Amino acid sequence: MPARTADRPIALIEQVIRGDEAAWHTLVESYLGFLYALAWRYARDDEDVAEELVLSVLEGLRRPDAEGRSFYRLRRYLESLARIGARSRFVTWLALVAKNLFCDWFREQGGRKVLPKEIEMLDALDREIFRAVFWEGGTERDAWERLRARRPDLSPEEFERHLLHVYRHLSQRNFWCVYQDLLRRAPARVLGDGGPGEGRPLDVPGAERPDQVLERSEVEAAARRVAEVLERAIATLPPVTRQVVRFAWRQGLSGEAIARAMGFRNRQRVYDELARARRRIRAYLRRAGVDLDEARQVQADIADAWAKIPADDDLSDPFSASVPMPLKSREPQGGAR
Amino acid sequence: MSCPSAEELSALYDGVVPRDAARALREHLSTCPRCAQEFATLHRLLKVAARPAVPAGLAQRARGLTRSSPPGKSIRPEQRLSRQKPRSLSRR
Ligand SMILES: [Zn+2]
Repeated sequence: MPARTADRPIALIEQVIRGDEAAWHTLVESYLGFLYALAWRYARDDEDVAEELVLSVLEGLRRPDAEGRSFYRLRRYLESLARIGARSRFVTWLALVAKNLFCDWFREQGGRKVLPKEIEMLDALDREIFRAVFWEGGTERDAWERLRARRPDLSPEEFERHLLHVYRHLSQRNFWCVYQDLLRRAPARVLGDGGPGEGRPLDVPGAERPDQVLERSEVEAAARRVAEVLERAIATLPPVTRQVVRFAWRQGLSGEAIARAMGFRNRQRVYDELARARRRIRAYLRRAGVDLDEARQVQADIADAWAKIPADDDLSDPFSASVPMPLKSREPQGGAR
Repeated sequence: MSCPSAEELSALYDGVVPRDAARALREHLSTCPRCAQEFATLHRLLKVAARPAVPAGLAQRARGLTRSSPPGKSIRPEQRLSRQKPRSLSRR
């Protein structure tokens, strides 16, 4: 893989850090269009929001750290070559940092302006939980303590159920960064990493009536059983295949993103690995006497949970076909890369 | 390992991380939904195709960021910048 470190912006950034304002202007002019395009995706057709987002990124890039060293983010980027032995292209890093700063903006500034529209249709408790978590700040646990003081009858289960509902509602509005906060703060609930007993589909319960809970627990028990066998089957795969499987089925990454993460030349290798995994898992399940339809149902539940995460192509069903998945080309023409 | 930094994640994305470190990062990503999501989002962001025209006013406001106390219009970010304390720190 060719190293891509020689980068025109590096010299410019070095000048910026030394306090050269002209260099800063050049940097801003060079990347303003890129930042605006990124912001546009988050601003949902609101030009004012898009502008504020871009400005919040520029501000974030200029911001000093606790010791008063300005441009500390740019410094960290430059120093990454020495610190971690690698430095990405500037645009790659900038996109990631911009996204994080967008999220900060929505939380800290725009939240008041943008979010109420989204939560107006939620019920009173949901709205209260939203306020406690997103406006009053702190961890979810803090929010829970505060709410409990106000509402002594609120059970932890009820709190969590409503909280997930709030998150889900926001995610359905394609509110990426808010939804990602769920992933950031929620404990990693994944299939069976902690050994037997922990193998269960990602738990994103909808609001349900008490009488549905029993039924759900039976379904869950069955799901857990199949998921355990599935986990064992996955464990028998060669390491590379196993990792591709985890990325695709558990993390919901797209084929192209997986190829990136794995350092593969192209997506086809991802699909080949998945096809191989599918064959092996099917054979394993057959030997273990697991009903394929049941397994499919479990997989559908998992896929359903992960479907909350937008992905650019669908790799979520390990049982869908015995042939390699067709290469879907849903990428926009003439992308930024 | 703890969750990787923005620098590590973007370097992994560009395929420039040394082999052993890359292996550790991949291992982490395949078990940490948060980082996997972060990686997937980065991928989507870099494929942004639409390039809306930058509003004329924005370039001007971006330039205003360097002035420490501009003649402010309303509550514009230029003014926010002049505050000594970063707002993210002051809020927490
Ligand atoms: Zn992580």
